[in-house]
Amino acid sequence: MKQIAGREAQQIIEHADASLLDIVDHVLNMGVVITGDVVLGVADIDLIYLGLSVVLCSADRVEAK
Amino acid sequence: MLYVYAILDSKPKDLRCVGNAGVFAAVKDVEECPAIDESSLRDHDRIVRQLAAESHAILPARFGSIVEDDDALARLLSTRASHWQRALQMVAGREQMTLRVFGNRVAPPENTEGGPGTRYLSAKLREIPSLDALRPFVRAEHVERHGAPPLLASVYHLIERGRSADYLAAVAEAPSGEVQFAATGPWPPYAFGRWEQS
Repeated sequence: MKQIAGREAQQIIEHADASLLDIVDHVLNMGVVITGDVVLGVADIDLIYLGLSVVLCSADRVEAK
Repeated sequence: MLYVYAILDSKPKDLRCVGNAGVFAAVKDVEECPAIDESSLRDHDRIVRQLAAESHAILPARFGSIVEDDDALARLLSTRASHWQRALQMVAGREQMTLRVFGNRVAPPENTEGGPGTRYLSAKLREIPSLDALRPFVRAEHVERHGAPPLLASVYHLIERGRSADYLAAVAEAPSGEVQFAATGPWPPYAFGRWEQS
């Protein structure tokens, strides 16, 4: 089975808007594991959340509250 | 090879499927795992949303779920049939809302990775009055804490289909205190139906 490299995930996160980061979180980090294959390592998941935190907080979604 | 989009309680309209007896996997025949890029991720989400719209119960598969062939997938489904049936029952007629929790004062204690830290955070979240307004909507909850302040946690709520507008209104009306919220949804129930919940 092909493993997906964390570097590719990092490139996506660096150029992502908030809506894409939400999709990344749900599609890559969530979802039923059918095959037992690991798509992303824990370090990469942390990276995704760092990106989420930065982008979601810099957006007006929180400040508008 | 088969790319698996989701497990459903009924046959999908437009995609090929493997399975029987109320547990079907919606699949596409592929030569290799799709590259991880923006269009592939958006395609996965779009197709899962379509499947969710045409089915009563859906368990989205994680991106990149590849199975060798029909026989291998049929074995994976049948060996955990009771798990899939229970998980499908839980999400039937329901959808997911995702709540990002921001703040600096509710940080969990250091050096408690995993269970204890998550339980601590869950307990702290229950003390936030503004979250009480959401309780009537919530049928199941999954909390993930994050070590990347100011993002404290992601809270995934399973709600009845059709209640998302009311849920979002309740979030918008919640008083802004030590923590702040940003809600998105409705999503297909991506955060529910995992192995560890069986």
